[in-house]
Amino acid sequence: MLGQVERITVWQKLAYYVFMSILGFLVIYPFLFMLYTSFKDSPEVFANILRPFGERLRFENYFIVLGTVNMGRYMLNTAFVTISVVIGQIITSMMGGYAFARINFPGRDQLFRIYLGTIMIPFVVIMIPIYKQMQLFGWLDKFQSLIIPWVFTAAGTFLFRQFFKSIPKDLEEAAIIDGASRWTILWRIFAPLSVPAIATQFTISFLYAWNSFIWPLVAIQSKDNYVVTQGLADIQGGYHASPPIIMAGATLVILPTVLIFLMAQRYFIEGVATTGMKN
Amino acid sequence: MNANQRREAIEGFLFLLPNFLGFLIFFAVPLAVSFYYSFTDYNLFQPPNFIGLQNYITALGFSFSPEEYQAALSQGATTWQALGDLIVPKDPTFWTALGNTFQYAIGVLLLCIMPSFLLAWLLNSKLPGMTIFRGAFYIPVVASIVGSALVWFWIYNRDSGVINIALSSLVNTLTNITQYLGFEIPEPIIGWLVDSNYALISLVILTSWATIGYDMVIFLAALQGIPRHLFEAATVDGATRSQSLIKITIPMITPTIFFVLVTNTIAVLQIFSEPYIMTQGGPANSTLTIVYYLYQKGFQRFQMGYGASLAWIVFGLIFIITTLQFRIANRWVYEE
Repeated sequence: MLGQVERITVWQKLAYYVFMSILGFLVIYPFLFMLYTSFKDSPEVFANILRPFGERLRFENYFIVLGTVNMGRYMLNTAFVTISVVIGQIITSMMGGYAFARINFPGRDQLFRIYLGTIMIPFVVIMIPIYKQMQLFGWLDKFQSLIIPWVFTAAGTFLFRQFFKSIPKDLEEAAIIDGASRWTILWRIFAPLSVPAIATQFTISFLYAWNSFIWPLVAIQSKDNYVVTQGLADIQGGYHASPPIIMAGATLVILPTVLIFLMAQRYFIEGVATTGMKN
Repeated sequence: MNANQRREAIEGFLFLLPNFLGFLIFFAVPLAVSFYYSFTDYNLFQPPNFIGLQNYITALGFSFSPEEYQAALSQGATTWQALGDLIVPKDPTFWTALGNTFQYAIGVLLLCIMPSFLLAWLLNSKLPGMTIFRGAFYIPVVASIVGSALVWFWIYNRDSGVINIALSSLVNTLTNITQYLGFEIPEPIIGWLVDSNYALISLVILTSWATIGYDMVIFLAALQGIPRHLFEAATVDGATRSQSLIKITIPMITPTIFFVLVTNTIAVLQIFSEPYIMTQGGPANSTLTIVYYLYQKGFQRFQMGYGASLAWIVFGLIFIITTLQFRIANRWVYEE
């Protein structure tokens, strides 16, 4: 395709668009199915599962999921946990990244290499001791266990270190001459310049926290403290004969990340592309 | 070290402190403890006792029973069949889970790498609307896999799922035509998630669907990073489009192919949500993955020492496979 667009005929172009549209439709069909099924009732689903619309749009499915099934509460829980994790990760990563990029201290580069090495160790390796640790701290079954261990990220520290290294030094030198502290430099000079890196880290942290499943599953027992993925797994057990309820629940869990993705597509793609390329 | 340097070092430590404390308390310490647990019989309720390599022996070990082998032979089994009685794994479920996980990984790699590269290649054009297609292919990546698994659970449903309904209406249409030719196509009713022959491949399809967009974006970035002058020079020399693809594009992106191979493998070796939501590891353990088995052992039966040893086996596998892929990559990855 590269550089050869000019030579494509109208028919080739048309065939190309038709092909890509069919492919695109097939890929997002499961979400269309989820959406339209969430507005039907069970008899309508079983009468014809392929038919997009029933007699009318049944918004009451969403009221059932938000109210009776308590998904509203789970969404608030998850929003609280996610926002805490995202803000925490960005702050600790910016500070750590700044230290690794700009401040000289003994052992800095060795420590940074250890940080990098830990990125490939999967979470399941530490899952059992962390569980025990949360029990000792008294955080089991509380939001603390979903937030505090997760606000430190080696990958995020790496991302900000790389970004800060690309900022020209003379910008901060002027500030240093004026007597500004490093703290001021980080938040007044670097932070405003780091909007793309912050947005990228935001997308990564947000997806990670909102979609996390295995850890909440073991750490949280009380239904009042469930996160959305747990709540959804729970609906499947209770409403297995009622696809519209399950699909309404799935829509509520999937929609926030998809909406944020559609609004900030650029940063999602950048996040993948940069973490992908520079390792 | 003068006063200024000392001050800078202290400031450096202070900036790193929140991050480093978290790293120490919630990563380094649990990592060491996990290693220790893997050599104990820890079960959450009683303090751990050191039992040496016992957990690893249970997971990875075999027992030999020549008597069973002889008995099987005398009952008329072939040597090959009798071998199954001679060498018996101490924990057969572990080996089932390990085998499933490997099949899972191979399936996902087959379904993801080539198609995502082709997609990226198709999308790497200056035609308008590419971001829309790219966005559509990427949505499954950002969607919660728990949510997606529930949606696919109904798509795969044996009696009223989208796939089987669509398949049978297609077959009905075809039968309307073929009955004039004197034969009928049998209606295919596949129990995607309830038939142990299909359950694993069904999950592989779901995971691949949720991964292709990610791989595609990485390939796309790599394709856009190839210097244009290479293609221009090739075109001047009279190279065709397919020659450019084989001689320039593919060699230039071998590091990316390698990267995608490694990240996908690492991700698939940790699959948990898909079998948990859709099949609970069944039918007949056919979708039991190694991390799901770890979850069962550690958090449902509270054999946490054994669970920890399984976690280290997962890590060992990831380490070995990654190293192996790096070794092999030295031979075929093109570096500038």
